[in-house]
Amino acid sequence: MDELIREFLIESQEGLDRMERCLTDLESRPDDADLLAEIFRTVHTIKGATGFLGFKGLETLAHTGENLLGMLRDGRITAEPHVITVLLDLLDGLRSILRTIEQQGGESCDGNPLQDEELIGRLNALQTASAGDAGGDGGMCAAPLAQAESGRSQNKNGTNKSEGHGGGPVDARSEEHGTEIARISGSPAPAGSAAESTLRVDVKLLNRLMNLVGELVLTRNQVLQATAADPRMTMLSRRLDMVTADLREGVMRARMQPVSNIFSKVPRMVRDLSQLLGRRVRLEMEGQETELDKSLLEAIKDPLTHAVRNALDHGIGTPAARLAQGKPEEGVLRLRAVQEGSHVVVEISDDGAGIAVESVRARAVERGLIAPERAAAMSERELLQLIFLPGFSTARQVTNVSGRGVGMDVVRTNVEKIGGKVELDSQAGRGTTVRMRIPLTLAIIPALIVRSRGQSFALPQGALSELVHISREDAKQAIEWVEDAPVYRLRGDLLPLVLLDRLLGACVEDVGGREHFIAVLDGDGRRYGLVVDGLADPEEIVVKPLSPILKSVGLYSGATVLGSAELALILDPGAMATMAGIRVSERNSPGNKSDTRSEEASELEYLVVSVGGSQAALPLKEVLRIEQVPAARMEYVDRKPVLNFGGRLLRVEDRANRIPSASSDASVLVVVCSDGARHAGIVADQVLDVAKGSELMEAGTGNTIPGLRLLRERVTSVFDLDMLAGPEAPRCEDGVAQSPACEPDGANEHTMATSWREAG
Amino acid sequence: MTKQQEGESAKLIQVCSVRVGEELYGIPLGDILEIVGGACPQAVPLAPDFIAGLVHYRGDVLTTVNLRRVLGMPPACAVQDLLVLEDAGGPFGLVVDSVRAVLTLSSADFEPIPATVRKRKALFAGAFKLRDRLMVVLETEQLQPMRLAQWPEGV
Repeated sequence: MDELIREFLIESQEGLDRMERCLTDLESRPDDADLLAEIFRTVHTIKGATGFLGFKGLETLAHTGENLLGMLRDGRITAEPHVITVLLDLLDGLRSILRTIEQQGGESCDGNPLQDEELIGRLNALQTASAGDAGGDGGMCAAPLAQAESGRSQNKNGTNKSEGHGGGPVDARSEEHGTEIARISGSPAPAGSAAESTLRVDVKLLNRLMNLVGELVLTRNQVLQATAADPRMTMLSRRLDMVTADLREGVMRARMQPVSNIFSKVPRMVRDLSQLLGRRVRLEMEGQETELDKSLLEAIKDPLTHAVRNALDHGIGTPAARLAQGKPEEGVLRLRAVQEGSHVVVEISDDGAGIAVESVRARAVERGLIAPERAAAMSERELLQLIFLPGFSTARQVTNVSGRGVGMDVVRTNVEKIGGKVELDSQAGRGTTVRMRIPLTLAIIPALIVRSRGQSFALPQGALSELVHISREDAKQAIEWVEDAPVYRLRGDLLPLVLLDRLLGACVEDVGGREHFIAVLDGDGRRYGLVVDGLADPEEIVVKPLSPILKSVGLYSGATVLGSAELALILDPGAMATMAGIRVSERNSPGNKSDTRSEEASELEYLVVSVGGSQAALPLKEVLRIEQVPAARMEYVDRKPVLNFGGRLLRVEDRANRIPSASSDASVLVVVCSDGARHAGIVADQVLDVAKGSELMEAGTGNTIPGLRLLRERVTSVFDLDMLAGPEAPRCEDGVAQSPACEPDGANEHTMATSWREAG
Repeated sequence: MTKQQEGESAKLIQVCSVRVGEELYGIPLGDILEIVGGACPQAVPLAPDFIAGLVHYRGDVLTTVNLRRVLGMPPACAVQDLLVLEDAGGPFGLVVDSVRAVLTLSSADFEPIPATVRKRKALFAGAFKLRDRLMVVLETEQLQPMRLAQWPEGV
């Protein structure tokens, strides 16, 4: 395509996007001259350019629209809703012609002349009607006259602008909202110089750069490994490390775009939908400047549309219904985006009817999604989660009060596909909030490296909830079989198992006699255990796309190069569950575990260890790692043992004095605890079990005794971080989502269990 | 290859010759991005039979095709060579037993494949009559993994 035409298309589309926003704003502020000037300018620019590019149809349409806009601006007609509707149709008409030009390289003759004609008719009708109304203001105010005026009005428009803002607000805005503009400079440029400080960059080129940076990260990892022993290289490799990190951040920033790019589509959608459904809705948007990777922004467009649709369709009721409930006629739909650590949270909330959990319960039982007895025992929060079940989405009318759940499984699938999470909060009668947590970038994700068939595979950490080690001796009893399906008893619940070897086509008959690890995964709401042969350390992996033929295998979501230069396929937890035939059952319904925990706060789970012969316990959610540490690695500060733990100083509590008594080549078992901000280690003889325990009441007074629990029918003292690490330090955001980790050669570890779904 | 068939006067064509089993095959030099010696692709469980696996190539993960399997030969265990090819569908790898030489040949020695060849005919562009033997030239486009997957009877 001609470079000139391409430029024209991009500029016009940006202009139309701006115009769309202005039009929806205009409805609430019909007298705003700046808004009108902006809209007029867009249409005028398109008309001007088409003149010499020779797109006749586009020119005619733009010209007619310009006439109407001219009258609006001169105050001869006012921007009433029906005028805005016609102008929005004009916008759609212009867009569709532009699309045709983009796809076919020119205006098609067979395009849609009738539709355009009809639109032009309506535009003209508005002008003549208003001219009739205005009486003296020129009864024959048809196109030619308006056209003659357009030159004059343009001057006036210039004056308006300089009076209002004194600077070129248009340029500044276009810089802010440009859909394809990559930011080269970090801070927004002052208005007026936008053109000089920004540059259009092909997205393909950015992707290529991102790829190369990923490559550099891998090479750096290998260089760091190879040069670790050579002191002469230390300085050089450290600099390489720093430069690589900066470069990676820079390129990632270049791919970031403000969420306003997708938020800006919402006002129009809300306007159209509320007219269609007969609602009155006020839209509030917050945090539009929050930035997100371009590809992720694309990926949440559909879920966002779905959620907004749901909010209007089922949440915010008709004005009459709202009045009957004692609410103001006008409903509020609020969109909010905010960055929290390495995630961006996008919230869509309404003040509508909320979700009636009772009807969800009834409906779920009716559709056979859960057993009635189970349904009766479920908490409100658990019931809300049912809305995400695939079977639920077809239930178009859950009740008359609320029919939420249309396509909510689609929202969840889309968001989880990009490594995000969806949460739902709803209070009957008060409103509903859908919260999407999106990772800042897709290209680099934390993953656990597992081994099977002598090959490495990467498992995204996001889907991993815990790891269980099964020793060689236990393998026969621990993994039980129902027909040909293996299962494992995880704290009393049956967990369906998927043998990775078998899933990948190896013939596995016997699981005994070998050591195994079970990775407990959550694949699209289905909980199961993946049995693997071995584990390696978690790594930050750079995701590389797979060719279509390997994608069609259906198990892999990508590939990556590990620090050891070995290639690893990235396993897709949802696809594995599907291939292994694991269904969503009421037992594995998401949120199940965390909800029981949040409800019965006193029934916490504890890791039970033995220290100096007696039993002690640690809150399981605080256990980060169980590690065998060589006694020689222990160091002392102020005669208290400390440990260098991943570059941080870890205070170690050694009640039974095992460290001094251990010979220098022996190792001690250290349980590392963390609440995100504070870390501490406890030396234990061995790990005994994971158990639930309730608080102990003191006989007579009925007060609870702090620091003691009844576990495995014995009174057990509980370590907590307040005692070990001192009072709470300010929490750091990103430390909260600590990943589960496991040392493959730790012979004594029993159960590795860490990050549960956050209870809140 | 059609260009060469159309040529009136004899033109010089560069072809890279590769050995697979006892056979010699030619690949137009223009389709080759790079020749990598001693490649060892990472196997992909459950992938179609003709996929040799993945290799790491200049920042990308490249899918490779095992030419032995495509031609219906038993798999080889020795170290093999890798050719990185490119066509409209993007780059992909081709694993062969060994890369021999780059030959400059005259289009006068080129002939299309006779109609009596039925099996896998689409894979072959034609043959060069070398002094002592024939060298069948492969159609790069047909070796694209996605193309191979579309063969109804499998390769």
